[in-house]
Amino acid sequence: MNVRADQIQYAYKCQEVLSGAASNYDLNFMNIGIGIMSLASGIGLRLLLPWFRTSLLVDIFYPLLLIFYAIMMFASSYVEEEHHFWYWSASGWFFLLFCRELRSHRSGLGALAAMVALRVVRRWNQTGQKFAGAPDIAKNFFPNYSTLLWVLVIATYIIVCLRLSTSSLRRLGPKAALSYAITVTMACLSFKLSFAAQDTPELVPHWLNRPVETLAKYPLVNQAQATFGLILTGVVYTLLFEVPASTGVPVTLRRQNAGRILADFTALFLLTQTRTVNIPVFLLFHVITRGLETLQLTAQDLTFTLLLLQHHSFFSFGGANALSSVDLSNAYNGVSGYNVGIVGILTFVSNWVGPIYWATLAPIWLKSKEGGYRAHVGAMTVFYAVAGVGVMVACMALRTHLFIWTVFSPKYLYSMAWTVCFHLGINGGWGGVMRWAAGRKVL
Amino acid sequence: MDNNVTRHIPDVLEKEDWGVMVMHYLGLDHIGHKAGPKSHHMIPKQQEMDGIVRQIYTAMEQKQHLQNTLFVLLGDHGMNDAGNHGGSGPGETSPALVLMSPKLKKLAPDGMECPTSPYDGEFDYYSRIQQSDLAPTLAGLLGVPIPKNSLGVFMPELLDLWNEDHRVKVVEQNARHLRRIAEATHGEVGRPVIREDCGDAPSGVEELACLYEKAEQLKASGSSTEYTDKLSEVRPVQYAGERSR
Repeated sequence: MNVRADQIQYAYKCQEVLSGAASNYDLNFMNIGIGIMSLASGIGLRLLLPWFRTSLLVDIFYPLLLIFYAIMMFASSYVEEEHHFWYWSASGWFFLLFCRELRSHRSGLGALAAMVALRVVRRWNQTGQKFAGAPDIAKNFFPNYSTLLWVLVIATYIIVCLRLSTSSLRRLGPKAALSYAITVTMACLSFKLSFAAQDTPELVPHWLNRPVETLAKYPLVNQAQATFGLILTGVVYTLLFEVPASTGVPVTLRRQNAGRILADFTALFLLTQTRTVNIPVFLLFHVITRGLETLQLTAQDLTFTLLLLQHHSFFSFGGANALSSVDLSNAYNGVSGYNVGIVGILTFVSNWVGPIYWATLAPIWLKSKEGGYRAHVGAMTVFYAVAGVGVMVACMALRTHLFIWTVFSPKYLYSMAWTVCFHLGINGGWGGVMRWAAGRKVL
Repeated sequence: MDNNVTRHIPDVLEKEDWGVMVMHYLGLDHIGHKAGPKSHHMIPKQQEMDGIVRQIYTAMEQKQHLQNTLFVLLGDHGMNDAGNHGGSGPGETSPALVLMSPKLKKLAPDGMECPTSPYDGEFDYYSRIQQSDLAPTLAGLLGVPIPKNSLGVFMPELLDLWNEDHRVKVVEQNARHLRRIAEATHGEVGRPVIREDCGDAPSGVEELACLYEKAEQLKASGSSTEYTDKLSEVRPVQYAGERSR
């Protein structure tokens, strides 16, 4: 066929030149943002210098982590596969802790147990871009072993129930505490079961069919609302009545840390917002927690460990730096109409269950350590500030890159969620509440 | 959920009062998100969609009032190995596009090889166009003007549907349309320098001006309009560096 080649070539060249034009960026605002973030990093680092005292390992590896993380933001493959950075860092860190334990002639079994648990947690959900379809526990193992899944789920809930029954509602007596704990746990568990029956029926084994049928009478929305209501009642009761020191309570009751009670309630809330297949991961978190308790960790070590665990757990629950991996399955629990605020909060919590879990434990662990919770928040702030500078400069420098909208901008959105919602909201806000509660002894 | 679309099809195919019919099927996307591209739901769904295609094409062949109909089958996005999309992987950015009509048999009297394997990459079958190329292609086939801000290029493979005069008109209209946009964006280039190889021009904009001037010169000289009968010479080696990270 005869064709005007020159004009067609002109047309394709036009397309190439015109499509490559960068968007209309407001460079002034972007520069101001980078400037403010850099200022924050600088001030934070300066204020953090006294913190670098107690742990040689952290002195070396914390700055290294900051530098490597910031550099990583400039490569699209590293952004898409960020989970590898955290997986390797966490494993390496626990290995170093193990070595340190051995050098001090302790057994180091705690670190070893944590490493093994982490290995299983890593395999729970495949994430990232390259091997997105590769087999993992949540998608490939449990559908074939649904009985094991629900045994583990029930075990997780039983553990939470036992902790709640011995720690909450102390003032009302052990019987009330036990019945309340059982009620709230049963509410959560039955909601999870009904939800699974409706959403992923292939995951419900036949021996649970009777309970499912019984529960089918109650709409899911109401079940979720009942669950949240019970949890909220427990939290409010704890904050109002258990936290302030009171007279008239038998001194034979063990002194209890109100922070732990709140942490248990939070765990219950987080379990409600987690996908059913991910619930057994909390059992592994217990193993890691027990392992960490046997190690002698300074405040610095704890902060660094928590930073690694928070990001590690975000990715192992299935999170990634892609907008397509935002999990909405639990974002509408208990919401019957259109409610942007609540759905937004539930979406955030659903996708950050891992980090929130560790952030809730942080104030309890750190309250008696040097610097307390404040130093921890300070160190975290420096991380998020430096990471923020990294992401912002990367976006600025790569604003005409092919992947600016598919890789770097989503990473920036996630950075905003991490910094504002997680760090300010959870580390700062909720952590502050936990810190206040943790400082109060319950009689 | 797709039945809500399918149940209307027989009625509409009978009627003659419509100009464009858009059928938006959500089922395949949903199955992809839920269980990924390799789940056991995928094949039956695709077979269902094949059945719809067969139903519509048969109607186009048989019914008088559908003789001038063009059937466009396409996806709005692909999916990665997990069944999601939004990233930049080849699975996500390679949705399919098929243009069907009995009148298109003219372009390939011996038929096209099917099934076939990709000529490049993982998903590049037959040929590849930019998403924006669809608008000028449809405009050209249906005889309507190209949308004002479209940056697309009419698919060269389809030019063979017409005689030479009309072909030239379609290509020229497309080129002038793009020139208008280039000038609106970058302003007119003062005195375009015509080089032997326009690729040596210092900027993309100047390269464009050089190419256009060359084309105009060839057109003005009349007899020596540049032709080629090899499509590969016309299609650029597109985005060679795109897949590299």
